[in-house]
Amino acid sequence: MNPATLHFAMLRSAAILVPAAQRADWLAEWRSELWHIRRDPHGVNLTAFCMGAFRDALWLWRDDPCPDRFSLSAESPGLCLAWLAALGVACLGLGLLLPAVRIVLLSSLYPRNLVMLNPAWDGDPAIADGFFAPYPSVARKSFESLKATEGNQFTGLAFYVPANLPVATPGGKRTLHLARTTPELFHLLNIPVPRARAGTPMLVLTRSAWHKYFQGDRQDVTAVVSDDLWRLPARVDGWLLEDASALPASTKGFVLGRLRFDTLRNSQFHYIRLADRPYCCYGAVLPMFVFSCALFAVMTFGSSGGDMRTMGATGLRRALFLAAKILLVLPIVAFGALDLGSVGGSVTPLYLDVALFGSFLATRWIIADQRGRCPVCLRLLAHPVRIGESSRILLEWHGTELMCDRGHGLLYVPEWPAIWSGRNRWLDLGSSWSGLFH
Amino acid sequence: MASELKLSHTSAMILKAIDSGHVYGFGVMEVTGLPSGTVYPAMRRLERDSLIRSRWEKQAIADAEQRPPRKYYTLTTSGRATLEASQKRYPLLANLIPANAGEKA
Repeated sequence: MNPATLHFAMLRSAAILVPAAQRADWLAEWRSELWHIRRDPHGVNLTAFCMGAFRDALWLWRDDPCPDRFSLSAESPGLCLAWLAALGVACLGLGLLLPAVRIVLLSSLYPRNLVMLNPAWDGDPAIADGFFAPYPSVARKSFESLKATEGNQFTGLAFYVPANLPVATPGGKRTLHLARTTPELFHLLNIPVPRARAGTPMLVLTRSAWHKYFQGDRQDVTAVVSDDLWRLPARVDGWLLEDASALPASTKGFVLGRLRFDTLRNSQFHYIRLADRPYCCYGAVLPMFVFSCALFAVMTFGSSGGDMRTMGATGLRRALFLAAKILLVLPIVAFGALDLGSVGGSVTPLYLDVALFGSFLATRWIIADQRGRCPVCLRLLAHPVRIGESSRILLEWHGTELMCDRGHGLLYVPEWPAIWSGRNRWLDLGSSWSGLFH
Repeated sequence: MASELKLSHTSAMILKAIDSGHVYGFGVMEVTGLPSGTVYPAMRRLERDSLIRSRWEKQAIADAEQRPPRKYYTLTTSGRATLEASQKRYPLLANLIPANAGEKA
């Protein structure tokens, strides 16, 4: 990039922080100063000079007398939804950056009939299928038995075993994470790799490993595959394609198959469609979320909102806003839990715990936010005022009064529920009060 | 009241630089040796506290010299009083900042 363009882009970026009223003047001053320094630099580093613009802009941003702009933006229902959408996109973006989550999310690109197979197990099928904690669970003997007895249900079967193997590279002998696999693997994944000759092992590397260990030298390497094409369990630098008989008999590995029919009948194996992996994540969160919503709805029923019910278009708007919040929070919980659950390098059952905890937190927030908004304009209620004293609860009302900035009404939230004041009470001020508010 | 305002050494140095005739941001940076990220926010603060004031150079002058106009800073009366008080607090300030009559706006 041209340095002048870079410096101007830096100033423009910093200007975003400057309050709108001062922005044009601020930018004109910095551009003018930059122009003069460029002509007569006196040994000044122009990039460092432009970096100073960020501190200057930050100071102006902090010194801006406009109060609490974040809460102002959160007050508006539209911006609240925009923030939630942005957070959902951020969680998804973070997931795509984390290799373990990326593998799960991009698995949806595999064809529907491509499956991973695990021996049948009595426990939770999701865990038995190795979905959350993919682990090698099939011995070569079982793979051969599967091939012999149920092979007609598949159009192809492949077996691979992750292993650390010493490989001769131009820089000497290095230990690489390789998958020792039967030659059908790449055919099943539709990755074009030259066919192996019987009895001759072939080394295929990921592009990053090829550059890292072989410095781009094709000698001894049969093929190079883009890193993104491998979305199966086990992180590998490459693959050693061998005959099934050459693979270790007792070491357990993974089995990949392509179904001939829609399902697998009378099999000793569980299967999971690779394309379904991301939807399984979402599917695991949905019941938790529904459960926590129901739980909070039951817990809060009768203690709040009774007098805030609104009918007609206003009530519909309120319900739609609640539904939109739930729809936007759901992916945040699903993707956020997936991101946090993959901290160890693979998606583990911790994902379920995080998702459950996240569902409770999210539901709690949704209900609290909904209760703290004006039922008419859906903006957050403001200016809380404490009224009364807890020691005199039998004599007078004790709690917090909140007000709608647009003058639609007042919300009374009791501190302690009493026989005569157990619920939140909404006082509709009506249009006659609107003249008092801006 | 402004003369009672206690300035940090950096702010006093910037005030002195402006008083000595270094009337725009980069001039102050050069003479004080401070980075842009310190000088400009400090000048904003001084301007907010009414110790200095800024004004844009006339467009006609800049056009005649085929360059963009610069923003010049000058001391206010209270700024001058504060500087005098600061010079008592930091006696070596005058030695640090040489006068620059040529740049006086």
